[in-house]
Amino acid sequence: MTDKKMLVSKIDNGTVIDKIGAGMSLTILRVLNIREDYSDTVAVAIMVSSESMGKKDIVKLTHRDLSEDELKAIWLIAPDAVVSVIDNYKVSEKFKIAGKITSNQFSGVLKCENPSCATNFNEPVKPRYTLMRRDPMLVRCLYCDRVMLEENIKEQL
Amino acid sequence: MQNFNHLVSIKDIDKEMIESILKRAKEIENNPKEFAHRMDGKILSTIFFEPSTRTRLSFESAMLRLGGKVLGFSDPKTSSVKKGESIADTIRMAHSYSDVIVMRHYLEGSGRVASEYSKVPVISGGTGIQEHPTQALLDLYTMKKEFGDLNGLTIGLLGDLRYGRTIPSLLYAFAKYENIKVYLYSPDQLRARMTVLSDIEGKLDYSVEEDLQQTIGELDVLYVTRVQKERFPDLSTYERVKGSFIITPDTLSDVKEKMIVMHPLPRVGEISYEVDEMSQARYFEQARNGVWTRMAILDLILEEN
Ligand SMILES: [Zn+2]
Repeated sequence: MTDKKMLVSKIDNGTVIDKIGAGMSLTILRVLNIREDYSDTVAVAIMVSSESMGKKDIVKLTHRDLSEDELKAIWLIAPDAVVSVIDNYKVSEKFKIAGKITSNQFSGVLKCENPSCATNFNEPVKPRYTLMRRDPMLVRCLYCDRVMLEENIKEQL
Repeated sequence: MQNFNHLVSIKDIDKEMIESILKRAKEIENNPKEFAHRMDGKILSTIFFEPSTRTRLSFESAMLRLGGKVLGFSDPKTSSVKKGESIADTIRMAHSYSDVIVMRHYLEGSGRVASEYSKVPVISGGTGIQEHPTQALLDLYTMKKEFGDLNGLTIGLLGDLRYGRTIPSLLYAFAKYENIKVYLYSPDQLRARMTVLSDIEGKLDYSVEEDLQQTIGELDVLYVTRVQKERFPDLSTYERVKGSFIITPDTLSDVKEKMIVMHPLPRVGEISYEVDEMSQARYFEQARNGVWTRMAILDLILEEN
């Protein structure tokens, strides 16, 4: 705990994503659409020592909640992630993302790898998928039925 | 029974709905006059991003026989779709002009996109290599007419099972019945897609077969599809395998007495003309059945919406 405190100070309001696999935090920022022009404070700790994981990443987002779609996206990238919601310097809610996922459908994050899938053309739809298997990951496009394997999904993350 | 809002995949409907469609098709065929005004004042839009005279005319004929009117375009070159207009926008135009839409598109997933943007029912006339649900339904109608019941049938699917868009629709439909057996015959390169097979795994008794002649004697239905040159990496592979997928009177020398041969048409040599005269040939009747089946689909989908 002292390590973490040295790295980044407590946040007043927002979200902490802990237990992210080492090196995956930048992918999570990308999925959350947090870029260099983001207006709020974001703290990222990479390769933090962890008893359970060896090394892990942590992301702290001030004044930012996570939508259900975003939780699912994070879950794909960091299945063990633990989220704390911070309200006035206090943890108002803390949960494992995996426990929050009730449906196996998600959207965003991935692009369908089928070149003739309608979602890859100029349509106002967000690609949507069914997670058919977690490990190794198997995902199916809800529009065109194409199944994507973990090795190809990883290339996109 | 579930809602019948759109028909873009056979997976959208249950067995009960399939049976209702087949039953309605029979009622219409037996007594078309009774249905001649069912669509009075209604308009069908046919939107074909890919040409298909057969499917389009079959739907237009169905709508006209129900007393409805038809509008649409089938030549993308003369319409705005080739200029990059999206499916979503095209559909939002069409639904303000019509009560039901039939769409064919060369992209997979296009049917689902269309159904998400349409305020009126969307019926797929084929989406890429994905599915062709109304073709499958008219095929089921043809089989049911012939045998009375689909349960208990042994059905052989032959030809291009990988890119043929009706194949997944047929397999999904067969899987809804308790007791259909399916043999799959195709060149190695054109076997049914893994995704499709995994969908029916445990739900349908199927097996991949090397040689048609070994099992042809068990078949009630032989369903033949087109094997296209373009699907092969080189011409010599195509030339080598194509002979095994052509049906001649010889192929049919040792079949069940009441066995039938079906084909979605158009054919390009997969079934020799001599077979047309044989008692097994059912492909021309199958095409006729398309109109009754599509009338039934239009009638039921507009009854609910
Ligand atoms: Zn897709």
